[in-house]
Amino acid sequence: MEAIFTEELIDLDVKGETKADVIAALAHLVDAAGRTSDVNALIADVLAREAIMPTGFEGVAIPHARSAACTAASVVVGRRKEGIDFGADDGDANLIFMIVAPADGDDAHLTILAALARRIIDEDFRAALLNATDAAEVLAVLTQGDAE
Amino acid sequence: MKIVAVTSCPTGIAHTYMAAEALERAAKKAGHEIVVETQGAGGKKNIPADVIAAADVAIFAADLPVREKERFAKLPLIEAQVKSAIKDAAKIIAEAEALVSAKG
Repeated sequence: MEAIFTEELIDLDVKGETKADVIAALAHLVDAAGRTSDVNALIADVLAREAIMPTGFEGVAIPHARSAACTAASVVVGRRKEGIDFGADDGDANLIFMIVAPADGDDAHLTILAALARRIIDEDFRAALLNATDAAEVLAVLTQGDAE
Repeated sequence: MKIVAVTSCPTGIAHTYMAAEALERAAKKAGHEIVVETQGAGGKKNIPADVIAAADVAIFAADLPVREKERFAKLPLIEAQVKSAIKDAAKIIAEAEALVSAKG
């Protein structure tokens, strides 16, 4: 099974002026890692989901989609000093998890994504990611307790 | 108080599980038992019928129609959007408490 979390899917200083910019920047990491067949379609799917209901809350955003353009379930972690507006009424996001899964994602991957979604609720988990000094440390936090 | 809950969201890979976690934490903090059924994209696992039968209240934090909703028909019901369960699960648990005590 291809790993859902990898260092190449972590950007500790993700650029962009808008949430669409940030989503595009994170999607390009998915593309660079060879995990999408069509990066523009992937971006469009995430933006379409985001348009239904924005995914920001408490300084975090979780743009996500199941997409036919996604060839391997992936979690991209973006961090930035300056918050970006993800439609939350309680503050801009400094920590962004972009979660993408193939349209026909298998249960094993979906289970890992579900476990991650649950951990995002945990303030200590979020703090550990925000305080991590480099991508290797972020990856270590993400995979802590993983059997993978 | 024994609570059963269902969470769901359109994509079924993120908010469903975040809401489940938030409700579980809030319920335990308030001293209640809770079993959450996540109707997401992953493996489907229904709450056992005996757990539903023994429950005092049901919570639907669901943005999609709850599957096999009739299983919960006998229970007092709190309905909320999945996002409000993530943002303020404690409030939903408090509403469930109020509903149960009102029904005596």
